[in-house]
Amino acid sequence: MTNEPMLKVENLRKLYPVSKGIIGTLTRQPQLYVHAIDGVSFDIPRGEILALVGESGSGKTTTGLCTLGLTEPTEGNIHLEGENLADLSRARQQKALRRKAQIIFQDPYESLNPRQTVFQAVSEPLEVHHLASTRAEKIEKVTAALEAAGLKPPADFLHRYPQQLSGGQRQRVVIASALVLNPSYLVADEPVSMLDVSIRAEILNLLLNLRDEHNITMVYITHDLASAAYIADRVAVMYLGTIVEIGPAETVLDDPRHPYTKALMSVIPVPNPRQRKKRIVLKGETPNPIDLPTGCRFHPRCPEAIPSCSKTEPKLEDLGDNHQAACLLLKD
Amino acid sequence: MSLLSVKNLSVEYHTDAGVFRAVDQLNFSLEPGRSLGLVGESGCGKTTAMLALMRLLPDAGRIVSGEVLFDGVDLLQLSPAEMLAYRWGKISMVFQGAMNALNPVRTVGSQIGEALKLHKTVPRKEVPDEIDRLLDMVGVTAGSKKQYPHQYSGGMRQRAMIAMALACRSQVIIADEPTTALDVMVQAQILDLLQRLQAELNLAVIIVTHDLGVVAEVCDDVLVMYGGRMAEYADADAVFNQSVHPYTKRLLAAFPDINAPRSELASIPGHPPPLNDLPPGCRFEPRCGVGGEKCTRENPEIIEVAPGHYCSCLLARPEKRSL
Repeated sequence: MTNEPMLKVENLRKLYPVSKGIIGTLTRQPQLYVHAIDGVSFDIPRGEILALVGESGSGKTTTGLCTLGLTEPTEGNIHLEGENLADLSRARQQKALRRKAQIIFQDPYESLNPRQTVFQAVSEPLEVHHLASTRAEKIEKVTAALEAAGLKPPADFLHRYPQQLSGGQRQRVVIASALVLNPSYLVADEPVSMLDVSIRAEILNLLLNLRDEHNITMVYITHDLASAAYIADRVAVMYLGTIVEIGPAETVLDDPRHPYTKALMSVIPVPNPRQRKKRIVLKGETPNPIDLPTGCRFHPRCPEAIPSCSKTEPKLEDLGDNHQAACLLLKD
Repeated sequence: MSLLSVKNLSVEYHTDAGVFRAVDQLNFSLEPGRSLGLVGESGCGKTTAMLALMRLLPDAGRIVSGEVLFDGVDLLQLSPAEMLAYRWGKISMVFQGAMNALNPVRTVGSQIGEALKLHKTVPRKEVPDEIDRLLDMVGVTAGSKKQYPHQYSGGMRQRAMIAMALACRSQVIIADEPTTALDVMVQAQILDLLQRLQAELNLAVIIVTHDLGVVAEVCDDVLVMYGGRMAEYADADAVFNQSVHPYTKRLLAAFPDINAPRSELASIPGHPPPLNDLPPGCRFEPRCGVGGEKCTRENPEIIEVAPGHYCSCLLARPEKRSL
């Protein structure tokens, strides 16, 4: 059991049906689907941080939600600590999952109820799961969670309301309410993108600390490769519902092989004007996930595309050192 | 003479809770074809300073001192009617949050057209052509002008806002957090666009942001603000590579660098000071870590540490006092 990955995702697919409307239904137009995730597989060993990196619409958040059972996959299997989420009944699944898997959302200004004190917000999960019988026990657990989230001294924060907290402190409260159940798996969905740069570093360091001290396995979802490089052990770059490149963080960043990863790397701002470089700016935005391009999904925007890219869909190729990329140009 | 020069600008907010000085003695200048990055954390006064310069402050805001010289004319002395010719005519602002700045019930084209008609930039007959030209210049396909803002993606909305700012042939464009909340690739597209327009139209550009990376990528000059005051002001290379102010140094240390991914990020402990309860000495002293006892008492003056490199820190060694 110990060598088993914390999370194993196999060939995950998630399609959302597009509403046809009354005319479409009457004229029997074919049902169209948004291909949010289209065949994603990866696993995460215990205590590892995997970054899912991609633009809006790449399917990174949907993948995170699926691994938490917050949305049901259309196809594919998800094993959390060896248990297949699909095998569990809805009620049992929820109970088992919520205790060990938690999520931190992007916007700490929206994810806290403005009328709840910090104590109420952080103790709510304990009540839901009947994990504290007395008030003293509740206070003890909430205090420990606040402390682990770096809100010190915890007593100062218990009775504050969200509007009395700064953005960074709010995000720490959100993290504390995820920690109070002692989860073993955490999804952090863009946890720093709404925060000032000066505060981002402390939240990233906190997440690293949680992994080191509590051995929490993490999926870190972001569009920012620089923060992914800082926090993650492995990086998976997603484009239009598929993983185009995955590997150890240093390998992917030192030697990006997929043209999309190369482009993403080139547009990361570097805090030094002497290192200004040519940005590989891709035209347009991620295409419509209803009507996918044929062949390689990236070929319409790819600066290196060759004719066969529009015909053949590339598979992930092994490049050694656990590094894989899906690009036809890697074949030669 | 500079195209735009701001001298000793101070702004206060008069509220029920008291009087707050949001901007204190701000100085900078800007030439055509150059870009200035105005950097600082939330609440450091960077947006307030820009609204003051446009004379768009909310009712509670008062400009208590200073000059805003555009081609030698002090905008703060103009009557509201005279100001109209400058606001949008000479200086335009692209506001943060493009979705909220566009009117949701009118097409993007008609909103640009309205600006053109109001300012009589071109004869009425030529308005439709001018809309096409502006949208083309910012990289929005002409067919999209009949669409509504909600049909635009975040990047396209930002482009439309820039087109609108350019509608009256402004010479100065102020972009307030132009790329916050955009994906990295769209951010790169918008930065490319701003750089291209700056060069093609010889625009002076001010980018207001908390993101040092954006500034390092595109700005010629950088002004770092803290607690309503200027902390450091110089050309980009000097600010990033020879920074003098401890705040600038700490901001840089907190920024992840893809070229050195594993070096530890050092966050800046504490928070910017509340404007109604400023420390008696240097405003950054409580978070600084390297300051001495003098810093708790004395408010640092702005000194020139090297030609064109200004800093307000008691620890900085002056070349000569001035500005």
